[in-house]
Amino acid sequence: MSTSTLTLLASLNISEKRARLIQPFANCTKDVFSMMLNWETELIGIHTNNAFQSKYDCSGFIGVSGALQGSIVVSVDQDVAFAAAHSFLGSRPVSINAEVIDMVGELTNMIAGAGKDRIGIPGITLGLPTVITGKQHTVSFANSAHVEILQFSSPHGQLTVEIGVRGL
Amino acid sequence: MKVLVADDSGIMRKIIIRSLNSVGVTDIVEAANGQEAIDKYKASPVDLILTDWNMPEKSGLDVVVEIRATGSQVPIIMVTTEAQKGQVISAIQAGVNDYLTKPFEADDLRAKLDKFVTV
Repeated sequence: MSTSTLTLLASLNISEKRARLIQPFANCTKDVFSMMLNWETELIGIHTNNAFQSKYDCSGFIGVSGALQGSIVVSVDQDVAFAAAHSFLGSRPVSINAEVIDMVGELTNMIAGAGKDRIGIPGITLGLPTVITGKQHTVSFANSAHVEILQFSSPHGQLTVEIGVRGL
Repeated sequence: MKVLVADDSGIMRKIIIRSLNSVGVTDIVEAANGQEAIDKYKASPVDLILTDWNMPEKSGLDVVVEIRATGSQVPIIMVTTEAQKGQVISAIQAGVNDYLTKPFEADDLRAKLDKFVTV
């Protein structure tokens, strides 16, 4: 974990229970963007439950079942999605097309999959990714879920990883 | 050399195909789910398979089990987000020859291909 991420966790006085959820997903999000896109991302904000509501254009969802139950959501705005598609495909899309949706789904799959493995809780199962698009949409979780919202900066704009689960 | 690439993500298939092209492989068959991969392999066997684990219809593990059940010894590389020890062991026991976890760097995939690609 980068020094700035550790500093951010310490400055926010994050409890051990929350850190157990936050750290794996902070690390794996940075790894996915670094390894697959050669992008440096930085964790710039951590919010819990409904303290923050992101507004983005494209969100990938993965259902979580088994030892934890809930969803993992990766949200990006159009510019970030287009820049990522450009890095993957070599050409910049002009709209949120099937390839952009596929890419957001795969990024979500990799972040959720890597986070699941690093969290160290056996018996967590992930579903297949679903992608929702819509200008400036918001994401809401059931009140019974514990929600951690991780905000990242990237060279092409901000992105958010939201983990909303029960059973932690 | 003919290679089957099975992944429900078209983007991921393109990334893998780009690596295959870079090592000289151009005869590539794509499958977007496990059942399609099994059907395409049975219709026209290949020299190497790269398969995702979590796919619709049938999983990558199903692909490995069904292809090994035919007696085929074709090399199979599992390319997946599933990285827990028990799952890796399950895949190897089912007959996977090598395993690459997502996310990966291009050099990681190239190193795996170098073990199996003969062009």
